[in-house]
Amino acid sequence: MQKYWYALWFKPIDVRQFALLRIAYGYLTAVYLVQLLPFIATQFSASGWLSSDLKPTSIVNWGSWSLFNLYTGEYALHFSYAIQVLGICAAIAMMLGWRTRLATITVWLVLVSLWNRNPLILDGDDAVLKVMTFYLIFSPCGNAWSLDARQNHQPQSAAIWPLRLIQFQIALIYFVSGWVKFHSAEWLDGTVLHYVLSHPHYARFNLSPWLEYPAFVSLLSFLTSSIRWWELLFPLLLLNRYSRRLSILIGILFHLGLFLFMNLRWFPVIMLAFYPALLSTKEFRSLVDYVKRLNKHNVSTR
Amino acid sequence: MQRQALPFICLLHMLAIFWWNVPQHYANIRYDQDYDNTPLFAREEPLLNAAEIRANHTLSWLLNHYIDLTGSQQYWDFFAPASPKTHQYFSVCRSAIKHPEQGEIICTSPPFFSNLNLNFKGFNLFKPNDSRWYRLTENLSSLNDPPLLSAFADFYQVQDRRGTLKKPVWLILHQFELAPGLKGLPAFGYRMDSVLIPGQP
Repeated sequence: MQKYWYALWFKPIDVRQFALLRIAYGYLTAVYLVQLLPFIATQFSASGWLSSDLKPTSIVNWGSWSLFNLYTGEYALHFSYAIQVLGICAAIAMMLGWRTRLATITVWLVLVSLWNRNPLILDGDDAVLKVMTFYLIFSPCGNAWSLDARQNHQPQSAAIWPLRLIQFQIALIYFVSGWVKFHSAEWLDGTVLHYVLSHPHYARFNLSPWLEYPAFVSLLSFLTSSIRWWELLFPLLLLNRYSRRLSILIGILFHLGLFLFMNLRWFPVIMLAFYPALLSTKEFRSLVDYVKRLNKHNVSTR
Repeated sequence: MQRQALPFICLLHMLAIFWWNVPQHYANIRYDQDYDNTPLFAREEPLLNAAEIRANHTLSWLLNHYIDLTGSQQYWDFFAPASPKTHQYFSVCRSAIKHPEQGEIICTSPPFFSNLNLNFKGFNLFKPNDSRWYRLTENLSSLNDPPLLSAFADFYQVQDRRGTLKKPVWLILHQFELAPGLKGLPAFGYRMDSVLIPGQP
């Protein structure tokens, strides 16, 4: 029993698994923070519409601290831009693996500060970036594929526990999301995708004319039902090697579908960036070796 | 020592985020169909009790502070879209006119702010502004909190050099209800605009 408990938390894994997550989330966070720059003045600085003394009780998910609230004087706008630019620089440093832990902590501070300053304009993708950065702080994600690793030799294996936290987070996201879908009448009767595909904000293209075809409607109904069961059972599917692989495949197809048909910014990409955390060390190494062989093959055929 | 403590710290974190997610949702969700025909996973009774515990227990106080300190707030609506039956937008303007027969309320002066845009967005990964504004109006309209709505309308009036706070402005909610199965309705749904803050007639 003690042996299994120990293996659950301290089994050594390849640190490149953390490094890949760091690079992906560093890149995505940098893109997100750049894309939020036009909103800093109106939405996040003390000179914006949401003054720091206005804290209505209707917003229940408001955290108590934010770097943006540290200074609310005459130069609050400049101060807010400075925080955002600091976040962008830190996200780039995180992606490159330069002073990785400090960079990751800075990125997390900026992401939580944005969230706690104005959650009304933020969404699920922002929340995933925020929680993911928190987990990466505790991982040795700068030990490989980083500038830090080039300067100093770092151990190439580490205890698995930060990855366990990430895996739990992924499972929780899908489980809660699936559970919620069991509470939605539109998900239960299978019509939710009819609305989504006619929705001028969420749909990339107007697919409502396709709803005249019974085969298309049946396909949507099947997808609706499959998705909510897959999400609800996701934590259980992770427990077995074969069901985990099947679940990963379904997840990749699901998020590719979201990416192609729905306007959710980078959300599907952010969720797919989680997936290396679902692989075993052996699977991860096989994947890395496969990509290396593919690269060699491409170079030799040029 | 570290090896003994770490798993328990991890478990505490897992407990905190699980607790934060699940009871929170099911205290708020109302599923008003027949209980016997409600799928097992949609029944909420035990979790409602958890929500009651949340309000009183010392443990909930500790977990709340832990979630706040670590910035781990996360809600179900992040990961599952709100009901997509409707879509909504805001306009802030000095004067407006109602067309009740079309369900429209239209600004008759150039708006201080408006995100009314009924085009499908295609692939616009590097131009996410529309979706940010959409999220803001979605949240503000669902909260329907007067101080927030006033602060929003006043800000955009003052931001615009034409505006002063002395004259009240209109804050208009442009809302559309989709009915994909019904023929004869406009592609963007049945329009039913409403006034959230009335300005001068």
